[in-house]
Amino acid sequence: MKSLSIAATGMLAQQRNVEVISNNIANLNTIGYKRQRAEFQDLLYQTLERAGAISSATGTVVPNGVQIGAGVKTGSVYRIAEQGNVTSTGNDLDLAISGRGLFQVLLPDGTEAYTRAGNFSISADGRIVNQDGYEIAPGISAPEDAVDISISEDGVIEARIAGEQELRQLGQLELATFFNESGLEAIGGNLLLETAASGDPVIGNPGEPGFGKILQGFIETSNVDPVQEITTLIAAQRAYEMNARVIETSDEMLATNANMRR
Amino acid sequence: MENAVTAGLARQIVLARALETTANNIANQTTAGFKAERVEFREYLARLPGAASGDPLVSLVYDPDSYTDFSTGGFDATYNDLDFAIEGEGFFGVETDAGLRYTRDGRFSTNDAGELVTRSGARVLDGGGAPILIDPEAGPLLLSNDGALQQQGTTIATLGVFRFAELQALEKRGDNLFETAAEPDSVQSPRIRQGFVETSNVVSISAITDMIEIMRAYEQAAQLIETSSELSRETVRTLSDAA
Repeated sequence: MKSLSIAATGMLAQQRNVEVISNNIANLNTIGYKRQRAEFQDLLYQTLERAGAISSATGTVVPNGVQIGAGVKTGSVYRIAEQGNVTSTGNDLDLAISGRGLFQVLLPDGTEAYTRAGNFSISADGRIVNQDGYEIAPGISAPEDAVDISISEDGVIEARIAGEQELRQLGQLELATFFNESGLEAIGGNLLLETAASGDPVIGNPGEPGFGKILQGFIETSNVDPVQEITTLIAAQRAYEMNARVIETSDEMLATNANMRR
Repeated sequence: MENAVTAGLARQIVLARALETTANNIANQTTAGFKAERVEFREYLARLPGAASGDPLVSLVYDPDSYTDFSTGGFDATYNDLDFAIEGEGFFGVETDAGLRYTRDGRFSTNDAGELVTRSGARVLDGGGAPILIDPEAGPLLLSNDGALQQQGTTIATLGVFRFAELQALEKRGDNLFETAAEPDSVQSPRIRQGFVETSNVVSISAITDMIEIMRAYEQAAQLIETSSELSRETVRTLSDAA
């Protein structure tokens, strides 16, 4: 009975759905996290050779065959790049992007990773690094006697040096955008990597057309909406139960036949 | 006496297939743009082997058709600029490696060449049948009321929405796609909603009641077969006792 395996694909899909939802809920308070959505597609159809069967002596034919689907599959887990809320922290090196774009971070192996999490710090040698100690790219270092760092909307980083009147310019923050941002690969630590699906990064300064602006002293919270996640979770659970009922029903139908011989 | 067994068996075969269809509907209750499938039962009259020409024909059941329920599903707000849902009739046209396909699943994204594509990578077509190119640097994509896609106030393309005179000629091809040899008509002023996804039109309650009905009918058919073979056994016993 094929309905057993069809329902199994349904249960598997809902299980994947719950996994994605639970990861979203777990990252409710992760800075710069983008919620994900499991997306389903129907599987191939088996077309039984009934189409065109003759339905009367005058030669009329049945217009359609019987098409029986094989169930469902998880087509993709899509990352929704919608803007999260920005909250004020008052910290000089907390940066949020309002609009499109990702910060660039240099991984220890020399490759570049991309992130929306703008909670940066200063390392022991004065470099601006993320929470894992990875330097932002292009690298920017602050002199030891800097008292105050200010970052403008368009990404110019300036420092007030003790005893100096003029602000000293430290560098320019750059952002990256992608044709297909959801094609980026998440590697954990709020970081994303470029893939063949995402396309090459387009680098630009904040505030330029197509790039967001920098908000200093703010962080972007995750864009997970708990109410939406809970309702999706309830729907996923009910769908799972219904698929289980299909398996039960198929089993009972098989049992009916097995018990016929007396 | 064989007639009842054959009729019961025919009924069980179609019911097993109906359950498969219902199982596929239930499995796809969270698949965007999915259209439920229904099986149609029909009577056919058969002359069973060994019957004399004057004997009445036996009425059996078979399932000549499955048809797709093309009613519109619900709309789920996703607030995602690249999610589109068609209100009313029509399909998005997409270009796959295997040829032209149609879909109600408007969850699109862009590929590395900047073209608007479906989740399985098929290119979404505009009203004239050409792929839609999006400039990633030109800001957010907005849909105007008449189906035109705009970036920074400039129209870059019009989303193609196609309709068919005979919907049942569309065959499902998996990946939420339909195929047909029929020529589509363009819908002149389609109503497309941006930031929405059309949900599956499977009504879970009726899918469950369908399933219960199928199961009970299956049991009844089994009962019919059992009763009729019980009768044969009884007849043989009675006759041999009399002998």
